[in-house]
Amino acid sequence: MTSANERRVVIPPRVTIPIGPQHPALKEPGMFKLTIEGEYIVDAEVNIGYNHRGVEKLAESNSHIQNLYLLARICGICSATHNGNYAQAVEAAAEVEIPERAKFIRTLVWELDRIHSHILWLGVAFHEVGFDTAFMYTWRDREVAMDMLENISGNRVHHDMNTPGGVRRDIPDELVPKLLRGLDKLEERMIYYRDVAIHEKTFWDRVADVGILETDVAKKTGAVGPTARGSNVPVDVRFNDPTQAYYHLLDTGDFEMILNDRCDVAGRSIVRVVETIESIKMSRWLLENMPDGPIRERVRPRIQPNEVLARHEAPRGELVHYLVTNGTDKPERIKVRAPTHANWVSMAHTLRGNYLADAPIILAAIDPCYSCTDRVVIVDADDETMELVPLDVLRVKSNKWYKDHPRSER
Amino acid sequence: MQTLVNLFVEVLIQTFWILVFPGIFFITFLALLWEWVDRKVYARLQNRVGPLHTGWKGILQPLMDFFKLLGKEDLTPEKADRRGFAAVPVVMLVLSLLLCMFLPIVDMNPSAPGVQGILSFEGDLIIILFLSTLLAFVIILAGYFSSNPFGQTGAARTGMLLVSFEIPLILALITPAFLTGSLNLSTIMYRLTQMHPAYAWLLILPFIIYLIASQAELERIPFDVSHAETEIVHGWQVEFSGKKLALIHMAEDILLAFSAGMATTLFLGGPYLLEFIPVSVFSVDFASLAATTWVGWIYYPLVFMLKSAIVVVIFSNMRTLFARWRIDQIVRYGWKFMVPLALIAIMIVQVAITYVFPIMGVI
Repeated sequence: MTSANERRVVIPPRVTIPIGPQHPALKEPGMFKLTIEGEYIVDAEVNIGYNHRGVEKLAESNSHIQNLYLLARICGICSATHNGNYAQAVEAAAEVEIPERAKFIRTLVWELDRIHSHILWLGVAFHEVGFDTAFMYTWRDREVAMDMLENISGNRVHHDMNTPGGVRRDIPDELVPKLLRGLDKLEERMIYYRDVAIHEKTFWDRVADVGILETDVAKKTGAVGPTARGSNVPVDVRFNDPTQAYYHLLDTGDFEMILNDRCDVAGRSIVRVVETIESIKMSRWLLENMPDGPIRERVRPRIQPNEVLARHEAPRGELVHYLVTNGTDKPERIKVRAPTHANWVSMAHTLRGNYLADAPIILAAIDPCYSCTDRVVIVDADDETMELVPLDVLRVKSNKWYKDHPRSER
Repeated sequence: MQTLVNLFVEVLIQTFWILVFPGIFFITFLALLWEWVDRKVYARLQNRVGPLHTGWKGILQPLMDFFKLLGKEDLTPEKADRRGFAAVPVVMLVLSLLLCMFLPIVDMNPSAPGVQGILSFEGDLIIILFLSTLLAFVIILAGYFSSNPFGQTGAARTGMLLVSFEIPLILALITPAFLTGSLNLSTIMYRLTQMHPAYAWLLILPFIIYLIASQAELERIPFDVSHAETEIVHGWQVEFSGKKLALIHMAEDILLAFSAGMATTLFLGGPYLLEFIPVSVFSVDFASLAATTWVGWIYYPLVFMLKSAIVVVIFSNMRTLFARWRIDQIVRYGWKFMVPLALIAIMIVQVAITYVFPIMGVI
């Protein structure tokens, strides 16, 4: 008998598949090295930093007013977020209280921003699982939110509504009915998409029990925003640490934090969709209860030395602006901690043990925003020093490195 | 001398058949037309406009895409198996064209009853099933020849897809053969049209199974795992570019035309439409007119196209309605539902033709 007596276990060969830096599933550059056995992901490595632009360094040489517009351009989707949060930080540093109407308008623009960002995410999620029809429909209806923002601010993408001490444009009374009509339409459509997402079996099969992020892991890795709330971690700055008009919203008692205990991609999807409906209700309440009065307070351009940590619940999670002022009209230091940055930590854990086919939707489930995230800090492991590197220094360093290590030798 | 001339004319006519009218040119025309219909319907269902500018409502867009790809740079990856890599698109195109030669579009052999395809012989249904399986193997080879991780994953997925959906497809296509007791495509079609209308009920379940399985065979949503642009960047096609990609796209379009044509032939009564009207002007006079004179050369292709177009629209609708399934889900549903369903369909047919129909008095 020549046949083998012992049973052989055949393991499929391990292949390393790069997702990115350029990949159809990623709308922005980022690199994920997935080691797969057959279709199973056995290991994942997250590698970001392809989109560094040196925004923080540039911000230190700009005045506060200029920075508002610069920071709005960190991210195209959540531009109102960065813009508003920086204005909030500057006001706190200048110790100025802004008028009530300005607070309402600022909050309204934030909420509309969240609505269009979440609808955009829903479309992307549909696209990642190959449901292109729903992708086209959601993006069509996102235009309603975009048009409303255009009516308010004059711009579709970069609203730039805020200024230190208030907002730049008022919402005229004759615009309010139009906005309310838009909100009605959006609510109707969002309820429809919620039902599509839950009852369409092909979509539900692709998101249910995929990319599990357990509650304790989510807490341990510091997940924020819908990613954390989809894992039943109650973090939402709007409710935990309200600012602006969120006080008034919370006082009504009609609104509550959306949580889901599914801990998978489906949970995160439901959180986002239901949160959009909640956002629409918030916007409607804000429009209906908007107080009269001035829309801005004058703020001196020179701001006394102060140290501020401004927080805001961006569509993707908690956004932190750390601002140090030094008595001039320029910031001493501004540090942006974008929500995506906090969510990357749990990504490798979430990817492991899933199918390769699920990788795009798991990646998309945290709604990654690469351009928000990528800033360079060099940490020296030997003497534990940290150094923030601006773009030109980085360029000089890399040129030097390539001179010392020519390609042919590597 | 006269026989030589006759032979020459005969060869010329047959060359015309194969190359132009019901043959390659016509099939290619149909393929591009169906791609346009598919894209347009898909776009309209998604609230888009679809192809618009090239020709009337963008009808020439598939052709322009084909020409554009022909002019693009043709790259072969260094690690790829060069000969195999170059052969795959050509083999795919030839196989898909060959498959279409079996479709009865125009009566090629008036002496036999019914509309005959260019290639028609007893047992050609088996050849068709064999060729379509071979085509799936060519796709697997395409993935492996390109030596790309995405390509290999796509090829593996195509294999899984083949394992789970080839069997329901074959079982669905065998059902009409059971009903008619023939393995010749034209004979099956002709006998089906001559049968009692009650038999049409037996074909509904196999027809649905065929539509779903051929959607998998064509690798379209929800079964487009082997393409899956957001996961593995078009899978086995990822390394193909330029002329090779153009040929592959053309082969896919021709396969679409073939699948729609098979549905027309085996389940929708082939290129007969007016003959079904139970008035002797249509069912006798017009039928013999179309079968014997030049009228058939215009009438049969038009009816064939009409019915195929309906099938293509059904395909586009299916593509619009679903998200992409994961490969394990496809295999699970394939074996849990499709294969048992196909077997049940065959059982129903057997029971119906042996026990139920004789009792009901249907012959």
